[in-house]
Amino acid sequence: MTKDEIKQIVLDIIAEIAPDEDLSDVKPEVRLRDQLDLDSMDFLDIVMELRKQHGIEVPEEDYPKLASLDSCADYLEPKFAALKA
Amino acid sequence: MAERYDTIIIGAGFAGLSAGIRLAQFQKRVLILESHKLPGGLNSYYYRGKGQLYNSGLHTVTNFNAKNRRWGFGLICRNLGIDSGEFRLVPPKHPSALQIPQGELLFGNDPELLRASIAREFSSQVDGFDRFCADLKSPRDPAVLQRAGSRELLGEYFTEPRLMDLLELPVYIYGGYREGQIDAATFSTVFRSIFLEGCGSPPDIKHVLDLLIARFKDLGGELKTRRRVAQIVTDGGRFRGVELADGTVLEADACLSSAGLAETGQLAGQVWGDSGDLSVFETVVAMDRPLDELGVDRTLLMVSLEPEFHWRAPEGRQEYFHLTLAASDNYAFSERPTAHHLKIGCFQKGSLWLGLDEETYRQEKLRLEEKMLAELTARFPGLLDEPVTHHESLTPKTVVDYTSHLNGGIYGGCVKSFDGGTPVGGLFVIGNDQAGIGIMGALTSGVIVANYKVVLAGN
Repeated sequence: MTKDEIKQIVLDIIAEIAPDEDLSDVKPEVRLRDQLDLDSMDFLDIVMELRKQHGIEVPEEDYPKLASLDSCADYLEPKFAALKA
Repeated sequence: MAERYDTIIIGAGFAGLSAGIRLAQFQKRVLILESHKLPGGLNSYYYRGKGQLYNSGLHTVTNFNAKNRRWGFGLICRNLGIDSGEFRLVPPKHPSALQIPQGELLFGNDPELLRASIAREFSSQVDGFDRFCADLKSPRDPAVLQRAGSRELLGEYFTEPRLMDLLELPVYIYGGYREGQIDAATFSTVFRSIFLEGCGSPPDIKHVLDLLIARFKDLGGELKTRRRVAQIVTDGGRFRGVELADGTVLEADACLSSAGLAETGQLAGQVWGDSGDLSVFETVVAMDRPLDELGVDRTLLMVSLEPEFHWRAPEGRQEYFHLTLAASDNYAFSERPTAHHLKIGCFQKGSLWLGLDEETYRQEKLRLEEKMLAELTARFPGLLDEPVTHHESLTPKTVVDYTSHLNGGIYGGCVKSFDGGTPVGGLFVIGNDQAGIGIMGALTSGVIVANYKVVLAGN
């Protein structure tokens, strides 16, 4: 799975969690919390949807790695690759 | 070796069940321990006669219209992963009323009803009411509000003491956890939950409890009933496990207790908080016909019998200063309810009802029940024309038996732990004593403490 596809997966999850947010112009390098109205509970929900929809486990100590779309893609890429293997 | 869990939750009431559901989404081994046969704690159910279901506790469920994912009902549904429709809450079909000897105000799920009522009785105060409501929607720093009293807060918006009495009345009746004033933060939350977001009712409390338990079990959670926690085991100031009444020891990384702050401290061999002494006496009357056909045209009715409102309980068991009435079938249910239950209650010092000999307890209960029935028929004389199919009363002693709150405190102790923390690491309080008042408050408390103290804190 490419990094762009992973970013889209994260955006799709955010769209489900926070349907009121405008996601058309999310900057991948900027922290999600700095450009969207997301709180720590929303990040918990992102973690949960990653597990539910894609079988990806994100341990609690790695939550900070989900800060921006770029960091999500960097962090999740090997995890998605491991799933296929 | 002792069995080991990620988190142990004490109490399968609304706070315990919501915390359990939330945690079971992140953790593998979550256990809820309930000392009774049935879940629910104060808000539970029982059967009488030919399988007739009665709800204890439940008057109404607040935050009905709060669908925002950050607050109230919306926050609960999103955290629990349960669709709001599954709760089957329906709005009232009749208005509710606040009464003092000088007059009354009406309110309902449309805040305009209360506003119009205030405009009629206290025309100079409407601007203050509008400002107050607007400010409630963008809450102020909770730490500041937690230090102030409710009267100080209202004094910033209103000048009419009788209106302030009327606005305080329902909030204290549904959340006055100690005599005198409660903090402005809890006041604001309860006010917003009742007046701005409205109320609703499920068909019965069993439906909601069954829904929560099914969800918890689907997620792999374990619920054990008839397991009383006798002791909380700590080690170097850190939670280690619990010992049950039968001697079984269970270990866990974290523990969320809905037993109350003082009561949880007692289990841990420490002295925390103050269990308080504000409890309730409530009589339920079952009728054969819909209550509104018998002239009961209010859903909730809250009464202060004193010309000046003071939140206190009398020193005698046969006295009372406030009344609260709830008509269980005055909601817009799609199917005609089969039960028509009317509750009338007053507030009592719980300690006055404990330690009585059996005969004195029975006599005192009967006498106060007679008074409650007389208050009921004085307000709704149409009830006299129909036979009462069943009636019975709950006393502070009943509350002690079903909640573990030492003096039957229905809204928990006098001291709240707003962040859920206790002096023992890994041990947190949820529910009433984390300021989770009412069914929605308890549900909220469970998910908030689970999120911030367990999942995010890596406990």
